[in-house]
Amino acid sequence: MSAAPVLSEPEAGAPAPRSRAARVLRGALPYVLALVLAFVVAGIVIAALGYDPVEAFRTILTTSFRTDFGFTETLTKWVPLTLLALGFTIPLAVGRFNIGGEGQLLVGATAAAGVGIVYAELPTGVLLPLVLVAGVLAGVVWAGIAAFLMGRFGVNEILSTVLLNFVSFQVLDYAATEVWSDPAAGVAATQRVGEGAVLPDIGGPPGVHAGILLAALVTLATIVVTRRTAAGFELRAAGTNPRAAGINGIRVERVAVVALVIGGALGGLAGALEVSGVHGRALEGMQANFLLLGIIIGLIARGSAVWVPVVAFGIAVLEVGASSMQRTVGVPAEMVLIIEALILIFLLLSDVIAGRLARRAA
Amino acid sequence: MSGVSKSFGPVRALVDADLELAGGEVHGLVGGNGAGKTTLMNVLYGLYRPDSGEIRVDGREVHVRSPRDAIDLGIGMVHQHLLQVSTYSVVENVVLGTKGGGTGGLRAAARRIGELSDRFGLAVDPRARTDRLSVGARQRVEILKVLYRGARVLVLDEPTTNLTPQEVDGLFASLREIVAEATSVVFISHKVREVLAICDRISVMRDGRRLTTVERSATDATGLASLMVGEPATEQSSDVAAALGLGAVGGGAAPGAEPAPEASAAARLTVAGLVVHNDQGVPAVHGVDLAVGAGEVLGVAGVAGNGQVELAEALAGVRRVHGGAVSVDGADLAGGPTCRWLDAGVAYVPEDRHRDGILGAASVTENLLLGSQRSGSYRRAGLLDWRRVREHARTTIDRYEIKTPGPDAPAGNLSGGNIQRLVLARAFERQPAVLVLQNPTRGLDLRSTRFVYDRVHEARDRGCAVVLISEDLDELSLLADRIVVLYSGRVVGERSRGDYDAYALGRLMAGVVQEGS
Ligand SMILES: Nc1ncnc2c1ncn2[C@@H]1O[C@H](COP(=O)(O)OP(=O)(O)OP(=O)(O)O)[C@@H](O)[C@H]1O
Ligand SMILES: [Mg+2]
Repeated sequence: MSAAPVLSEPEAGAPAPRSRAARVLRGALPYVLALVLAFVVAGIVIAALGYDPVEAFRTILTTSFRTDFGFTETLTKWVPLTLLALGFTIPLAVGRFNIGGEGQLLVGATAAAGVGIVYAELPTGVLLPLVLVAGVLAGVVWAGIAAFLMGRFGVNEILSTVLLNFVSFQVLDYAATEVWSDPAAGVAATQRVGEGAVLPDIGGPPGVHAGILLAALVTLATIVVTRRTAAGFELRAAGTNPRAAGINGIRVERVAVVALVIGGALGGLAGALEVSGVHGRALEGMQANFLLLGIIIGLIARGSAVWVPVVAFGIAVLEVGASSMQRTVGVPAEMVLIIEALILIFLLLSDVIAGRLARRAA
Repeated sequence: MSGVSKSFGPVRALVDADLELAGGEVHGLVGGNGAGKTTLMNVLYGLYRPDSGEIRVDGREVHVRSPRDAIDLGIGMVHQHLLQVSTYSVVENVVLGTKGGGTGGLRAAARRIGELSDRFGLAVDPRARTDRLSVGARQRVEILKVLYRGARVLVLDEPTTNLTPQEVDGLFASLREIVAEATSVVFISHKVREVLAICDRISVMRDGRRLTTVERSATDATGLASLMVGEPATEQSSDVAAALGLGAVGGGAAPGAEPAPEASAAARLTVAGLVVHNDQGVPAVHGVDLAVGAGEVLGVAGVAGNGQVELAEALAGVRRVHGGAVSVDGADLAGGPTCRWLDAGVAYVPEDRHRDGILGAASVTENLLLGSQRSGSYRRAGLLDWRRVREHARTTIDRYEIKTPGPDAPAGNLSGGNIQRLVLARAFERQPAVLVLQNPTRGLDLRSTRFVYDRVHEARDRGCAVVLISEDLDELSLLADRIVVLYSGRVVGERSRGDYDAYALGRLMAGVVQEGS
């Protein structure tokens, strides 16, 4: 799946701007433009639908910051978004696409809930780590299947990860309706996990579950590993030019397999944190649209582990604002997904345009 | 072209450069790596817009904003690295991007291509798929493409680097035909002999300027070499000129090549019954036996495509060994992962440095680190010590005179020769036990070539076993203590220093004779 680097006409590098400030400005420009354009287009659509775009945007952008509840909600969403985005960008660095984030999240959640239910009597100090480890391991196994098929038989990982998503729906469904079903829940859901499996809140009330610390730690670790370790260097090298990397001793296929498995571990962790920190159980639909958003975040951040948490926060703000907008202004919440997609599209477009401009200037 | 300047950020690639091209001449363009030859031609071809300067065609000032403009003006260019590798047929490739294809156009086009290729001796099958063609044939397609569009100026950027000697002769014959019809050719090369053989006039570039232009009749190998090297015609430049330009083969030991200081008897690299397959899974190396001692340089001669790439990659641990053994200092490495070979002290300089040698988008520093990222000297508390890495990169850049805007510049932006320096620097800095070099001086200017030769000698003197796979007999006779000839994946002959005879070697390379080795 790794695109062979094609040697083409000499790359017309843009003349480097004079100062550092100018360079930063130049780098930020496409993002600002994409953001503004996305909102302008969305505003036109909202107006055409007969709503007040100013009011809609005000709700979207301020909900997270006006109330404690909104802010807590935003941080809570930030956790799975960041983890799934990293689960996408880490394999992406070696040119592999992990489109299985939601499957990994769901099996992670199912395993975490299972452990949390079966060993409900255990104290927190024992049960909570067990629950989280179970989630991570389930994600590892789930991505591991795709990674094994890819490494051993060359099966395209996009296909296998997507297909495994569908299987994961069945896994959750089985657990939630046959094994640990809770008929009182109203939807297909497992029973509640034991008290010892529930993450404590920090701050508040309303507080954010302590899983956010774990997610922040994971993000930090990802940054350090990719930038400061030999393994991270090998990851990037294998993605930049697999042939040259291989010739210089890097086992490209193995790096790709490991990267995909790590992606799965993050997905599984996200699932376990959703169980332990948010729902207290595994339930149908808990994956929301985290996979799609994770991919959008990863692409907007251009695969950078430093920017993923930042972009994820922005997207979480939009997401939390969206439901509030639907309630108060009446604009369908899906409008926000359109905005997010537009940001990405305009960003990609600006790349093309910047490339053209650079070539012209060269 | 006159007064052309072009900077890439802090790099001044061209400084007030000029060039005058007469009708119907082959104009040589020479100069060191990074002198600006390619950049100047890219400006002419509309790929780069110059910061200043003007271009006149037939006395009229023109503005070339894109290759499209250039083609309309009758200017065509074939790049250092061929661009088209696709599943299109030759005809489709040539017609692609020209006006008025239309139905039935393809057949007419095929006829025209046939005519052109007959007239200029550029033999290609118009219906063949380009990805199935040899490098030489692909280059002929590129030239046909330019001619098909009615070019009157044909720019060839280092066209001979990937060609066999026979193909070079064929190319030269075609160029003669082309200029006979009043088309002009710009011929970029680092090889004195080639430039003298084909060019009518020769312009020398240095540091982004045209230094001078000389008539072919008014110069000789030594004179041209000293101009290119930028030193007065000293003994050294004439050595290099002799080595590169004029048959060093046959004259016994070439100047500057003392035999190895007693190669020790113990073989560092032993190859026994080596069988290697090519990408199609067909055996390309059939049972080769080699033994290279410490401090010995073994030359492997042969026409390209006789198993050299497969042999080199197998020796470097990059390609699977299907049979036989390869041992370094007594330890059999066959079947082990590449990193094991690196740890055993094998360093490899691949032939295709763009594809196999560098991470184009990564910085020079990162490229120099590649392969040593797990070495203890770059580690601090389990993390990569980037300060140390960068420091080492700086000294390496200085030591190997890699011309780059800085250690953080992307390696892919370096000039061809400087990329090769980078790859060589990385290999030599590993202090290898076994060094596998494939066409290491291809595309290098004279100074860099000499530099590589010095480094090879240095490695040899340190006790390194060197395998030099090259198509350049002059280079082999200068460096190798022993030459084996590879033909159809087999060693068909062996000669020791003092017994190098170009014609005999040539016959072995052509597979005309075989001898029990
Ligand atoms: N796109 C680019 N971006 C930045 N620097 C560049 C670019 N293209 C060329 N340069 C720089 O300009 C200088 C001249 O490069 P050029 O490729 O013209 O050299 P050259 O004479 O063709 O050398 P060689 O013989 O090695 O091919 C070099 O220092 C090179 O690093
Ligand atoms: Mg060049």
